[in-house]
Order: sequence, then structure tokens, then C-alpha cells
Amino acid sequence: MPVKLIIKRIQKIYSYRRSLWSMSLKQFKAKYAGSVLGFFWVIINPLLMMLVITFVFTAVFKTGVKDFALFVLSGILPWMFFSGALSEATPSLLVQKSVLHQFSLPKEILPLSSVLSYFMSFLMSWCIVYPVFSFHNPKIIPLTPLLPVIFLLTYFFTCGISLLFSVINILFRDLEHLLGILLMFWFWVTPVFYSIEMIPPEFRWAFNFNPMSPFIICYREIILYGRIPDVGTFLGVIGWAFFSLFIGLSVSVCLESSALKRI
Amino acid sequence: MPIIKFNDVWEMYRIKFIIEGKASWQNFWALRGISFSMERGESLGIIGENGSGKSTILKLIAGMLNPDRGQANISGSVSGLLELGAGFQAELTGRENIFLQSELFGLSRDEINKRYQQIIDFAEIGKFIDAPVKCYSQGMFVRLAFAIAIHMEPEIFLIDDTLAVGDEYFQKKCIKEIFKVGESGKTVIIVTHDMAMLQKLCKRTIFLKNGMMIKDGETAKVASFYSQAVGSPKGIAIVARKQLSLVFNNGRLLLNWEGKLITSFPGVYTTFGISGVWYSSTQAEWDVEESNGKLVATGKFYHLALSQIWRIEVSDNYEIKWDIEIETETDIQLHQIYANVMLVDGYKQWFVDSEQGEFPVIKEEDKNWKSIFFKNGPSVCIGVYPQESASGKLPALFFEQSRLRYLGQGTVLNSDYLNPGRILQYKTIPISSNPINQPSRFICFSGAIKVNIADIHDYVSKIQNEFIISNKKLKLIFDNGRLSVFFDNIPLTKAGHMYSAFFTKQRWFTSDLARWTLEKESDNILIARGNWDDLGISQTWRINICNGLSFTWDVDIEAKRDIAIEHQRLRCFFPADFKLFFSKFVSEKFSDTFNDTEVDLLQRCVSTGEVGLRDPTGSLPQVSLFFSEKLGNFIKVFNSDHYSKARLLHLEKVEPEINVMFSPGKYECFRTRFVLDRNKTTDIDKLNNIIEDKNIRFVFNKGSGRFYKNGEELTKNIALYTSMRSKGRWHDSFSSASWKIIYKDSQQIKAVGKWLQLPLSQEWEIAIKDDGLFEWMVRLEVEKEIEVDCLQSNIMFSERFSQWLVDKEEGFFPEFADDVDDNWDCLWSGKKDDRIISLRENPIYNLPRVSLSLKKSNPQWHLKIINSDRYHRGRILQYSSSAQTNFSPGKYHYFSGLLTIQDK
Repeated sequence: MPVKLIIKRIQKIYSYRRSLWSMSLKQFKAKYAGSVLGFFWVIINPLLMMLVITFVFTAVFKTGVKDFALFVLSGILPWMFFSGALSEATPSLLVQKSVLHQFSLPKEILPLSSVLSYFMSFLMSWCIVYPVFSFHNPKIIPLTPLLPVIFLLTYFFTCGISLLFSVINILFRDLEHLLGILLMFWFWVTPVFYSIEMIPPEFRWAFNFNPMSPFIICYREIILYGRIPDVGTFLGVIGWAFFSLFIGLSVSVCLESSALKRI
Repeated sequence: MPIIKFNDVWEMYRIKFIIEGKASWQNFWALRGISFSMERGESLGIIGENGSGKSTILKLIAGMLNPDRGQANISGSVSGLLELGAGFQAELTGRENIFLQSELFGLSRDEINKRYQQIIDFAEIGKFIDAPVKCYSQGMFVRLAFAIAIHMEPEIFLIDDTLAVGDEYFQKKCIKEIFKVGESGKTVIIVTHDMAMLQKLCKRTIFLKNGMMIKDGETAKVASFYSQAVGSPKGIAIVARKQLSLVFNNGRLLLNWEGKLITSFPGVYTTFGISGVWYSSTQAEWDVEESNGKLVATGKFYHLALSQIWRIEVSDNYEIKWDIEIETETDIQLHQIYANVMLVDGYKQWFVDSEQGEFPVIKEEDKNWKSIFFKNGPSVCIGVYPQESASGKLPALFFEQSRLRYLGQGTVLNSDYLNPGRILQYKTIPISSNPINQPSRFICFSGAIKVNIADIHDYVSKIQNEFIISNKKLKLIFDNGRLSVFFDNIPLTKAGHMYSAFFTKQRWFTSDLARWTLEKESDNILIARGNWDDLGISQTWRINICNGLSFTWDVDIEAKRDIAIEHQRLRCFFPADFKLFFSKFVSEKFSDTFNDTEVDLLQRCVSTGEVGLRDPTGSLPQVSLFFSEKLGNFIKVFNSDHYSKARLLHLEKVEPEINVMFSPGKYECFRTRFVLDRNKTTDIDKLNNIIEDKNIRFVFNKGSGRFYKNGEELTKNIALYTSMRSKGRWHDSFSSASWKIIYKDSQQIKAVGKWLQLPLSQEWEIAIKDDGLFEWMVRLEVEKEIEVDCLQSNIMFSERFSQWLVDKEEGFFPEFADDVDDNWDCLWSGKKDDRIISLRENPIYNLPRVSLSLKKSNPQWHLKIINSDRYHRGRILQYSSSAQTNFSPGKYHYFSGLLTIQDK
């Protein structure tokens, strides 16, 4: 159990928090530097995504879900944070290796800065979207304090998986190429554009293995329906968040020697 | 607490090699067992050839890598210039990157603001500071990078070789800045190839090679050591043993004692000449392999189709064994090889074996190398005494030739003024006694360089004792299958000296190619055993110096398996000062000219027991070789070819049947005794016996007799002799019999000759009957039944006789034609036995007339007048009888004749 090493590593990362912060800011700015719409892209992307899906599933495949657009939007924002951060974090150690060569930062800073910069976009998009949801369903307003909690848990979960994937990608370069397909598959098995109820009961158990399911369900409950998510789901979210963080840090610390050489 | 501590660090890279589409992973060890530590404020330089692990050490210090084995403890913040462009975000401007890098390094906003302008001023890249760094040139990158790095004020500052990218002005600036950093107590580590920079900035330097630390010490010493090892990397190897370290660098060896170079450029090397052109070992292309302090280096001289192979082994007691082998693809005439050890001129005293002296000072006018001492004979050991000098102690150094190799001449020399030094040199001459027109490989030098030996004299005499036996006058030196003889320190043998050879498996094997071991049975007896392992043959020599001036040399062979040895021989080369050779029957002069091949002077194998060489001036003693006829030994005497310019005594052992198979066991081959005598002058005369009458002299010479008038010889070559033919073979009185004079007075000589291969003997009586009249009588005594089908009595006269007469018939002898006369031509023959046959001279020569007549007639005798062949160049008067006769034991009358020598 590399608990001691993990704690040491967390301490080291904390000591470099400023570097983490500046890198994330730079990455955040760099994403939209030179573009015309600038940081409005933080919201335009998910909105466009939502429009397409809504069109397809109302005009083409009738799902019959009420307020389908918002239904989708509530899930699509966390999903896009997760998949975006993971996509950028996975190759980050290789892409930014010159930083590692120059400075003695802990290497976790790199994938974590990707996640953090996406988190910033994520948060910003909520600032625009939240008024829309609260106007649609005022019942969600008292549950607003839960939002930071779920945001943080999503953040932890994404950090964990990103750390894990960033190291595995060094050892198996294929991961960054597989990631696109993996995420697409993952998207389909996550109830973003459908609800759990729509799945026939025989198959429902399978969806519980998908760590993203409880997250999306929670989001929907909190932001769309204004209901407190049920205990099981909530515990699942907490569990997955910390488990993935633990796994991510362990792998990152233990496989460091072989990974660093392969960069 | 050291700021950096490496403890037995090993670092490995796993690299994927892709060959023809197939990928294989291989381990590459970049660092092997590196240990060192640095205190705060030290400046360290790291040098080494490309790929020796320098950048890997820096990466370990920067925290980019973790050691695979061992520990690397760094306690301080690290910054530096490691990779060009590292840490820069291409899209951001220079200014923005300054901020980014500072933040990444961990500086706070305030600190960044303080230094930010200083960094821009230092970088001096003008307006480009506001352009995205993706459009920077390499020079701009390095300026900005260095400016940033140096203003980070890290505790440990690393510089990899990237500084070289900047221009000279920038490099100077950086050096000044780094110097300031060092002065301010920060720790600096620099990797560079620029020795000048290193000297300025670092007090301490590490030299890496192949991932291992070769030297760690003062920059000046390590840098000089590094430049010793600069060269084509395949040809460089370094071996270190406590105080001695040795660098082999492409055909030269450099020796360092306690960190200082004791050899002077070029160091230890070889030179040789082929067809008048000189070559040095530094001109070849070298490839060296090292394992456990043993080096095997191969130097190829491509345009000569020749390779020189050095085997060097360094032992813990500072002994450097050095063997040089030559491999040629064609037949090369290598005349001399010099093995040179060039030392610094701090050495003042030399010694050669037991002589010693001082090197004179090298002056400006000395433009060439000067030989200080030269010993004519072979030397065992040349060297220099230890010396205290300004830069430290120079240790004693011996340059020895191994006793198991042909001993060459040793010299000590002073070099020229431009490159002053002292040279210890061996000149070795590789012998090719059997010129071979095929690829060959032979060892041409085997020796050792011994450093720092105590008691020198003791050592040298111990070495000499092992393979030299001597008494007051005589010294014998055994050297790997060759024996050299010295009388009063004058060499009696030369060129190939004395050696053995045998013929098996269709080629000759000489004793110098065997593997020899020596043993001294006593102070006078040396036993040498030579092994030819692949043939399963060993040859044992027993060399015994007897009291006085003789020694014996016995050679035996032992076969371990069945082997067919067709011939065996012993060969002894003597100097050309020997002008005469003699045997029991013959005494002759050697020709003064030497031809391309050896010339056999005793045209028939003489298997009698003694042969000798004489120097008429008396400067060399007379040498007699006694050998055993029991073992079937034959002697030959040669004048050698013009490479050796020597006189050759050659002892041959021929087996009774061809293709004799030696089954496993021991065999005696040669038993010889050499006797030296300075004063033997009467010996030769004793062999002859002379009777004289007025001015006509007859000399009996063991089975042959010569006539002289007024000192001039009338007869020629074999002169007076008898010949008998039995079973198809001729037996001559001068070669097939052993003679003893039984009676001599002033008028007659009686001698008895015992034939060696026929069971008979002849008794001769030569007497002066009257003025100019000689009688020659021969009696035959037969011991066992023998069949003899031809009996002859001959006198061969000088070719100056040109006319012959028999009664009224006369004729002329034709001149000898060089290309035709290979046979003896009978010019006249007659049955009548009472005629007188005579020869008349050519009037120019003023020779007397010579006549031969039978005293006692024998109807079976023919008279013949014969012109010999062009080799003998004589006119023969012969009485012969060709009746087939079986002789039963008894006495017979053979011949009785009268010879008249009268003036006209």
C-alpha cells in the first residue's frame, strides 16, 4: 500500500500549487487565445452539442422525455468536462515533456493542470447555465449548496482517472488513440441522453458498473428535478471519486521510474 | 552534509531497436556504479566522450530520473540549461515565458517582478522579447533560457553543453556570470568539451567513460588525462591500478604515475621499416578490447596488408606485459622492428643490464635522436633510475624483453630538442629463416614494462640467471628455441644462431615457434623443453657447459601420438669471419660472396664425426663440432644466402626409410659437442701428412693426395684417390673411408683406410723413389665376401694441363664449357697396360710434364684419359678394371704405379 508515498506526493504537489495554478491559467487562456469568440466557447460547445442531440432525439427518434433539451444539457456539461479533461490530460506528460526536463516539478502537475483548466471552463459554463435551470424549475434553488459538492467530487474523479491514464499512456501509447473510441463508447453507456428508467430492468445492473452513471444521475436530480439524490447513488459518487483518486495517485507514484524514462 | 550525494548509482535505458521491421528491446546501461559527493559551493566539471553518461547524471540531479540502483540524494533547488527550448511554451511571447518559467520554478509574484527586468537586460534579444518564442533562433533561445535560469538563483546550477550554441560574446558573458554564481557560494556543475572553460570555472572535474567514472580530481590533471584518451573511440582503452594508470590510444600507450604523465609524446609505440619506408604504430587503424585489465589491440595497416596485434596485461604490482604479434597476408620482408618507450626528460640516469650512466642534457642544437649507449649483444633489461623532480617523484622504470622471445638489441637514446625525452628502445629483427610465401603470423616482441621496482641490480642478475649458462670464457644464451654462443663476450653465432627444425605434415617446424619452458639442473646445465601442442611433439634440449671451452647440446624428441617425421636438422649460423672449414678429409675456404640461396660446400654428405670452422686472423677461436654418427647424423656445410651472410653448419638426421612413423615415446636425435680453441693452428696441418723432395711436395689428406711443385698445386680437387663400385654404388677413398697414417718418414707415407660401408680396407704406400719420381702402391684387404665390379685408381690434375700423350698418340683437352660439360668425358682409352700416359702443359703455365705408368702390370687394367665435368675442372689419368669379381676374404694387390714429374 503506497499510502506514505501518496501522502508525500500530495505534499509535493501542494508545494507546487502555484505552478499548478499558473499552468492551468495559461492552458485555459491558451485554449481560447487567438480565437474570435474567445471564452464564449466555454458555453457554445455544450450548447451546440445539446441542440444536435435534442434535434435527433425529438425530431428523428422520438424519446418522449419531457424537456429533453434541458435533460440532455444537465448531463452533457459534466460529461464534456470529464471527456475533455481526460482527452487533454492523457497525452499531457508526453506533449509537455519539455517542462519536466527543465523544472523539477512533480509530474502529476501536468495532467492535473489540464483537468484544472477544464474545470475552470466547466465552472464558467455553469455560471451561464444555472440561471436557465433555476428559471425552468425554481425547486432546484434550495439544493444549490449541493452543487459545489458534486462539482468537487466530479473534479476528484476526473483527476484520478486523468492521473491514471496519463501514466498508462506513457507505457502504452495506444491509449491516446483508443481514448476517442473509448470515450464514445462510454458516452453511450452513460445515461446522458436517456434515463435509467428507459433501460429494461434485466440490463439495469450493468449500468451500475459505469462510474459516470451515478454522477450524471446526481446532476440530473439536483439541477433538473430539484430532488436530493438517493443515498446509494450519492455514496457511489463519493466512493468512485476517492477510489479513482487513490488509484490514480498510486499508479502515478509507483510507476514513476519506468514512466519517466519512457518519456 | 553534502548537497549532492551519489552512491553507487546505476541507470539503465530500455531502448527499442527496430531492424528491418522487427523491434527488439535492449537494455543500455548509461551509468555504472557512479559514486561521488559535492559540498555546497563547489564547482564541478564533467567531461567524457559522447554517450558516456554526462547528461544522465545531470538529469538525475535535476530530478528528472530516478536511479535504478543506488541512491542519489539532492538537497537543494535545481535549475539550469539542460535542453534547448525546454520549458518554453511556443505560442507565448518571450516576456510571457519569463513569467511562466519563473512561476513554474516556484517564485512568488514579487520576486518575479524584481528580476524580470534584469532577465530581459541580460538576454539582450531586443524587440523579439515580445514575439512568440516559436520564431526564435537557437541563439535567442539559449540567451533567454540562460538569462532566466541564472536569475532563478537556484542552489544547484546545471549547465549542459548547450552553451556552445551561443556566439563568442554571449559565451564570455555566461562564463563571467557562472563564475559569479560560483563565487557567491552556489553549487555549479558544468558539462562541456571546452577545456579552457573548464579550467576557468571548475576546480574539480570528473571524467566519465562508458558510464563509469575513470577519474575524479583536480581539473588540470583530469583534463590532461582526458586529452590522452581523445581519439577514435574504438582504439582507446584505459586501465588503472592504484598509482599507475595506463591509456592506450590508437597505437600508443601513455603511462601515468600518481596522476602525472611519465611518458612523453608519443609514449610507448613501435616503428618498423619495409623496403626503406618507416611506419609507426600510430598510423594504423586500431581496435581495442578490454577485459579485467587485459587489452588486446589490433592495428591494421591496410595498404601494407599487415596487422600488428598488441596484448597488454597490467598486474597489481605495476608490471605491464606487452606482446607484439605481426600478421601478414603476403610475404613481407620486415627488416627491423623497434619497440620504443619514450619517457619524460626528468629522468637522468639509465641502465642497460649491468651498465649504467647519465643522460646528457638535451641542447638546442640536438635536432635528431642520439644514441647514448648501445650494446652489441642482446640485452635483457634497459631502464631508468627513479628521480625526484619538480613535479613529484618519477618512479624507476624497467623495459624488459621476455626471456621467452628472441633477444634484440637494447639502446637508450636522447630525443631531439623540440620534443625532449628519453627513449628506451629494443631493436628486434624478426627472422624468417624459411621464407614463406603465404600468410603468416609470428610474435616479434615479448616483454614487460615494470614500474617502481626496488633493488634494480638484484633483479637484473636474477633474470639473467634463468636462461644463461656461462663459465669464465664461454656464455650460452637460450632464447625461445635459439641458442647463442659468446666467447669472451664476442658473439660466435649470428643471424638464426643455433636452432632445430623438423619436417612433418608437409612442412618444416622450427624450434623458435614452440612453447618453451626452462629448467636449470645445475649452474652448468640448462634443460629446455619445447612443446608443439597441436602436433603432440615435445623436444628437449640439454645444454651442458663443460669445464674449459666446450659445451654439449643434446636434442631428444618425444611424441605423444603417432606422427611421421621425415627429416630433422640442427642449424648453426656463424659469422663470416670464419674463412675456412675443415673436416676429416677436406679443408676449404669459404667463398666471400653470398648468393640468393645457400650454397652446399661439402657436396657429399660426410658422416664423419667432426667438422670445424676457423678464422685465419685468430680473432675468433676455432670452433669444432663433434657429432654422433651412431644416430645417423650427417653434416653439411653451407655458405648462407645474402640475408644472413653467415657460415652454416647443418646437421641432418635422416630416417632409414621415408615416411617413418614415430609411435608415442622418446627418441634420441642429436648428440653434439662444440669445442672452442683459440690456439689450434697445428690441427689442420696434423690432418695432412707431407713428404717432400726438393721442390716437389706430396700431401696426403686422408684418402686423397696432392702434389705441389714449387708451391703450386699440380693436382686438382680430389687429386689422387681410388674408387670402387659395388652393387651400383661408388665408394671413394676420400669420402667413404676412414684413414689412419700408420707410418711416415721423410720418404714415404703408409696409410690404411677402412671403408665404412664395405667390409674392406686399403693400404696405401706413397714413396719418393728418385728425383721427381713417386711410387704409389695400393693393397686391398677384404674381410667378408663382397662383390666389386669396378676398381679405379685416379689422379686428377689441374686443368692447366692441356695436352695428353700416349706413346705416339697425342691430343688436346677441350676447354670446359659452362653449360655443357656435366659429365666426365673419356678422351682416350686403351687396353695395353704398359704404356705411359702423360700430360703436357700449356706452354704459358710452365708446368712440368707428368707421366703415369704401371709398375706391375695387370691385364685387366684399362688406361683412360678423362676430361672431368665443369664442376671439378680437372684432367684425370685413370687406371680401371671392370671385371666383375667376387672377392672372398683375403689380401689382394690393387694397384702399383709410378708417377714422374719432370721439367721439360
